[in-house]
Amino acid sequence: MTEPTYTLHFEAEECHKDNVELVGGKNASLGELMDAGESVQVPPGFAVTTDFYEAFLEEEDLTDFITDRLADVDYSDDNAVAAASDDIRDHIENAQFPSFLEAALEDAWEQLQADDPSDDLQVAVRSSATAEDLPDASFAGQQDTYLNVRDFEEVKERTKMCMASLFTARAITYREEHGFDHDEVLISVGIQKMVEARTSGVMFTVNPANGDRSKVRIESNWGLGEAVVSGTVTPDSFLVDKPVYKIVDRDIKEKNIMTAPTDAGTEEIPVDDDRRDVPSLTADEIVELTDIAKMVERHYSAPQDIEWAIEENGDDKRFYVLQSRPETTWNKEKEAKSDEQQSKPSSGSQSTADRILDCL
Amino acid sequence: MGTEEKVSTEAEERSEVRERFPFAGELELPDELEGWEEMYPEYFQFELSEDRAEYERDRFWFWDKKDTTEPLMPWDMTISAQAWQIAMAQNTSRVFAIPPSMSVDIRVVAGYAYFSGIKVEDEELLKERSQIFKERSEYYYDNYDALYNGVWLPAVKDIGTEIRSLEVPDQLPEYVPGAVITEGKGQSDQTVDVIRSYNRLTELALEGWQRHFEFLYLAYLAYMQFTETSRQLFPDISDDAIGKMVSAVEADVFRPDQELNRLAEKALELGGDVPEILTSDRTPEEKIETLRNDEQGREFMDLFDEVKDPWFYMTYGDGFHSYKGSWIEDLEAPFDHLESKIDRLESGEELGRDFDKLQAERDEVVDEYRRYLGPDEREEFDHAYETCMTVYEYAENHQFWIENWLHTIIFGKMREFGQFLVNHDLLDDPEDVFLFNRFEVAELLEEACESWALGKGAFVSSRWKDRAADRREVFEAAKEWDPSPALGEPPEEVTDPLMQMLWGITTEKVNNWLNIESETGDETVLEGFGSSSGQVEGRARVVENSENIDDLEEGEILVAPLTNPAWAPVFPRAEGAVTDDGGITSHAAIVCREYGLPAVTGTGHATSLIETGDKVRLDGETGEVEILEKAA
Repeated sequence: MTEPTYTLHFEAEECHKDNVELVGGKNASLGELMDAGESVQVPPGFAVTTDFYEAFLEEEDLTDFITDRLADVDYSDDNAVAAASDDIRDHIENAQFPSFLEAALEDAWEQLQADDPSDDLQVAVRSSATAEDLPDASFAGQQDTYLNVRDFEEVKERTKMCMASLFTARAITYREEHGFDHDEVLISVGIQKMVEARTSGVMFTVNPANGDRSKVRIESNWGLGEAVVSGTVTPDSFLVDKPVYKIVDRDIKEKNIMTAPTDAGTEEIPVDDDRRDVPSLTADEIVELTDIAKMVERHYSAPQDIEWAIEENGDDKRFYVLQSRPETTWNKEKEAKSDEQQSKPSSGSQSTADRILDCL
Repeated sequence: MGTEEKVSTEAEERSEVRERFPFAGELELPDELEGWEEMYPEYFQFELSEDRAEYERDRFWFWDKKDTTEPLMPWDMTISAQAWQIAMAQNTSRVFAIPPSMSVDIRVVAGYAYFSGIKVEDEELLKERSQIFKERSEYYYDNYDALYNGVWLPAVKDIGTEIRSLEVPDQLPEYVPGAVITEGKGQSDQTVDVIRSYNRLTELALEGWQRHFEFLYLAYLAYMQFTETSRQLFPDISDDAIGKMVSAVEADVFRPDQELNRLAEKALELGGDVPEILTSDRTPEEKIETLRNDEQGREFMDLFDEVKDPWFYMTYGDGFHSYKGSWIEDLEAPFDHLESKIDRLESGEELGRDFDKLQAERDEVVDEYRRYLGPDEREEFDHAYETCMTVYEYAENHQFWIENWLHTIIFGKMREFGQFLVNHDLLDDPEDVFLFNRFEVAELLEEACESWALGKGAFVSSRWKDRAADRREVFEAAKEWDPSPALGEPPEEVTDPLMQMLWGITTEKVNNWLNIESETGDETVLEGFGSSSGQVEGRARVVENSENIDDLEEGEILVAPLTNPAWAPVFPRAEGAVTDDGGITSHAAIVCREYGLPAVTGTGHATSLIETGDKVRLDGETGEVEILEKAA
């Protein structure tokens, strides 16, 4: 048996897409993105691994406790499930990390602090699920995010809370209904430097309107990306020709609302009057984002849906990729189209004159 | 008439202007232009008869600012509009039978040309023409290289060579040579030769213009099918991106600039007094003389003599205006360019385009587009691209070989006839020969022969000289005149792709003209074609014509009605270019892409809104030009 790995920095070689069972999907994809290219920067951070989680439960006798506690529950009774959930989560949150795990966590944390030039490292702590076949919304815990975490005590607490979120009432019920063993479901936690986004948003490495793969559609708003991702605001939108970086379409919206961080998470606040009608990206930034989109897409060899943010402190400007997933709509469409085309004679056999006649 | 009434009439007039342009018959020409009609052949004139006026009022005519930014002199009309009309029209209608087009009809107002496209709408005829077009164009595309390099280029060179060899005596001799008697010739060769040479010259000019159009539409159509294929595969692709994919073409039109680079490098390599002589204040003729008397200078002149024909046969202007002259006749421009190139070399700059780099960049862009395609799509894309790249060089090359090289030879030969007529006292200035049209010059030469034949002391009419003086005045007035951008009612939509690509005529632009006609022009933002990408801000330099191109200073933004190949050497000095006319395949667009400068073409009226010294911003992406600050 190999030595357990308790923490793993995103840039580590092992933090990649084939190692989801150790670091969870989110951390794996962040690690993967680190390899996508020079200009693709991911906010630094590390994974608290499933090895860590397992060792924690084992050492603190929580494994047996959970198994026993769940064995008695009447799953048809929502109150009973809720009580079990509260009980288990309390146990996890009140337990202490054994000293060797705490030391591993502290090492990783100190290294992250040491690498941060600002002296005021703030991190987001979020869970990184290992079970990919669980739908996002129903798998409670996956969305747990604690922002603005700045000291080690809080890191520990929030890490435990993420781990405990594996046992929300909904998660327990879901697993019961779908026949997953509770003791085989694991969780990893990501500790990642917070991005103080001036502007953020999403980009699709294909024009979502017509499937044109030579385009990237960039959507952006002031502040954090959640307002854009969730669709509560209509963001600025830019369509860029990837090979020549030409902006072929731009649509600057009136941006009334933006997402700002709070200690408990995020909130939506009004945008200052003088910034509402101003483009949230400059032409140079659009070019840089296009480059990033191209690198990420090339890394995955498929169209991507990317979350990004720009942090700006004085002259220091940083572009971060926060997440990337395959863009599915046009991938499917394309497959369907090529099936359809196979039954038709290839248009490649048309002569030049025929082509010209077609367009006259 | 009450004030109120007057105001409402003016308002009505204005609102009418917004809907359509004046008809030719409604144009109000200045008095000084009176008599312009007699200078140009009748068949180019508007509203000659009632039925013709009716036909013309039904059509939309646009001013061909591309070729007649300035009026054409009567004789120049011979090789441009006249030769041009037949060659252009028969190529579309009877040679390639381009299905929807019967070319353009041409009219002339005071030396300015107006075009009107003729569309084929009859379904049966379209079908018939499609078949012919298919067979004929396919043959050309498949055999382009052999036809162009093997036939076309030698044929054009032969035409030039034959024109040069045409004998034009300074003057007819006092008595014909004795050989007329001893060899029993029975004729005075001299008069026959003058007439024969002139007839041959006009024949050869027409022939050259037949060649001009041989591949031209094929080149533009290949470009168009590549554009259409690209748009199908990449629905939002920009014109600029397509332009980038067809850039870095090794066209002859860039050779004059390259040869100047070679000469500048040679000058520095030779060293000695050569660079100093070339950058001195001397005239070109003095420089040449000094160089020929210098050892290294002679070596420099060897190279100069080797490259000057054909590469310095560049006309000042667009090639259609004899009065603008050419490099080879007036070496001011090439020597100015040489001087600044030597300065740049001495300050450690590199000259010219890094061609390999340009090609590598272009190939990278093409590869990237290809990467986004499936196998079938890629095959389609590659086919369209290869066809386009095979023939696209022609779009620029014909300009060098016909409009520059051949025209310079033709105009040069005409000056010999001009001198002959001066020597026979029919004209005061050899240049005056261009004030008469093709048929009139034949008359003039016959009259010269006739009065010579009558012998010493025969009556020589002064009417040609008088007429030349009158015409000179009319012509100068025509230069000052500002023609209407179009005539008649604009179509709801301008759909002709060639009109858009070559002349930059779009629905939007036509509407824009209408608005300019009706507004005062306080606007600070102009819209055109984003023809070469990049953004730049800087001081404008308005260059109305070729004589002033050398005023352009390092770092300025060139603002011009249009640009032409003779301007290529000054482009590296500019930060960007804005033109009134021309689309995405216009000369300015192509050259700016080659030099990596942002360009906005076809703004309609940049040269009238922008003044030298204004601070402007141009965006080669959006096609927008903004005047940020007026010159003090």
